[in-house]
Amino acid sequence: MKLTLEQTTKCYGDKIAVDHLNTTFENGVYGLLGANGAGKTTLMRMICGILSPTSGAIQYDEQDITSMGEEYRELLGYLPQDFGYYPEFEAKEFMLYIAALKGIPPMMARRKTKELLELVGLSQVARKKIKTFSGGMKQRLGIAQAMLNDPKILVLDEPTAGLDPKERVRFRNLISDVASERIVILSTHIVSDVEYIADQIMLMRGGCIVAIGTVEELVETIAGKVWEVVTDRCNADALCGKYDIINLRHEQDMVELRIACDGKPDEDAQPVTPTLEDLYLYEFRETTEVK
Amino acid sequence: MKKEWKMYPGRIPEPDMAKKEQARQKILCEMQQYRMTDIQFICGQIRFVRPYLWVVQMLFWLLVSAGMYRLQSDGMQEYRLYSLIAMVTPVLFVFQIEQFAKIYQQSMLEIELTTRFSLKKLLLARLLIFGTVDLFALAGWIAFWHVGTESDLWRITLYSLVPFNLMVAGLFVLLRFEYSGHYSYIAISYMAVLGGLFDVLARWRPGIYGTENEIWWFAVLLVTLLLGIWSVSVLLKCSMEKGVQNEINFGTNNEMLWR
Repeated sequence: MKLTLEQTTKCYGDKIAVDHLNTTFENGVYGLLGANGAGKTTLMRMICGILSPTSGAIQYDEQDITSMGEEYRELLGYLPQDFGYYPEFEAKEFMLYIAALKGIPPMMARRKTKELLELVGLSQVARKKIKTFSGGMKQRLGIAQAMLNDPKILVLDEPTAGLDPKERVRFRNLISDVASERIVILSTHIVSDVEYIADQIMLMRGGCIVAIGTVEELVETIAGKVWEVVTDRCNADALCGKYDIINLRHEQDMVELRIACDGKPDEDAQPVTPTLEDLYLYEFRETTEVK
Repeated sequence: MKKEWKMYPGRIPEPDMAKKEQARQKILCEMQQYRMTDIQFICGQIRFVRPYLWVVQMLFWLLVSAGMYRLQSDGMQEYRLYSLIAMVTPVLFVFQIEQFAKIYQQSMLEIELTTRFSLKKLLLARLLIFGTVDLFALAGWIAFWHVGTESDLWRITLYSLVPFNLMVAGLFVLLRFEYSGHYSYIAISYMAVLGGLFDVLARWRPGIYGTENEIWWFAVLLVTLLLGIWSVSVLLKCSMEKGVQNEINFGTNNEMLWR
């Protein structure tokens, strides 16, 4: 099972959202990391067949996904960034509706709905209207609907948005459980969401994949470039103006800074082991500055 | 016990891979048998139409019929009855359009575009369900006035079908250009304008409902029929995956996804 992107490009007028992307997805969890506007959602929409590439192709097992049509959509599970629902529907009814659209026979749909609502912790509120749900509950329902057809390709666009820390952990465990023998692509700009579960991390910027690899491989690329320094406020201000600050913490009269830069930023600076978050902030420092 | 336990791996035979594959093929084959067909999909969609819709429609139908029948019994002029039929007919069917338009709910569209049954099939299923119900309701409505008032069947059919077709065509066209998410209000406004038009027509030219103008009504009926067919075909064409794919706006969810 292989999903291949060949020179995939998507333009909106003059703006290039996804720029000549070449990559292959195989079984496993892929975490797409990138700032807003990096092209993550566009890429996911193209993978789901909602958007067609301006140029290039997307192939599933060497077959063009556009020509596969229904056959391809049967393999898909998708949670959009702005997950929609019919407010007056009950959770169970909504799941059955999506199951019908996915072509799951009623008996199987009922069984699968029950299983999935239990899995995402919504079985107690299965008969409650969705409009009464909290953001996190709606998101969990979204995750459940995406998994209804036991998809071979599971695409989750910002699945942890609106989830509290406990729900996030639950989600991570859930994805880890279902990830075997399928392609899971999830986008986020919350590093910890993918750090523990993704087999491969893809860093996206300006419609391109700027880095790809396992957490260890990616983190290795900035080894020796992350520093920690405890200094007074005056020097801290100077360092803040000069370098990219990953983290800043006040401790009484002193300031602890975590800095990403190629050389030693200060005499007292100590090199530290970089994390994925350091890498993210290092790679996207220009973007964050603009923001 | 520990010794016995250690001996187990040796006793368990290796799985027969050929049989495993055979079982997998059998499961796949059985799953194909349980695959939902297009007919099952269409029938299945009935479950997701709100039941109150049918009840409200029926109650409204009864209420309007009773009211109009009373007026007619009190000696209402024939042209007035016909104009009322023309005014009221679209109202009887407007309840369903909101359920139909729901398919285009901005945030749901992305999911509906990625499911096995395409948006076009979903539209077709809903069109078939509501169309069938409308057909029976319209037939009942026409039969009621024909039998109840002994009016001319042909003329009642004309004065019912023309506004009905205009309503269908208009609402489907409006559906294509609706971005606000307040489609129900737009539909009701359009219906009010349409009803008002037939009322103004009756007050301005009462003779328009006369037998001498039947031929004109028939001509309009043909035009509106064509309009209705055109609006449905355009709606279906636009819902095809190819047509929809590039119409998704970039970045923001505040804009209508489908046009």
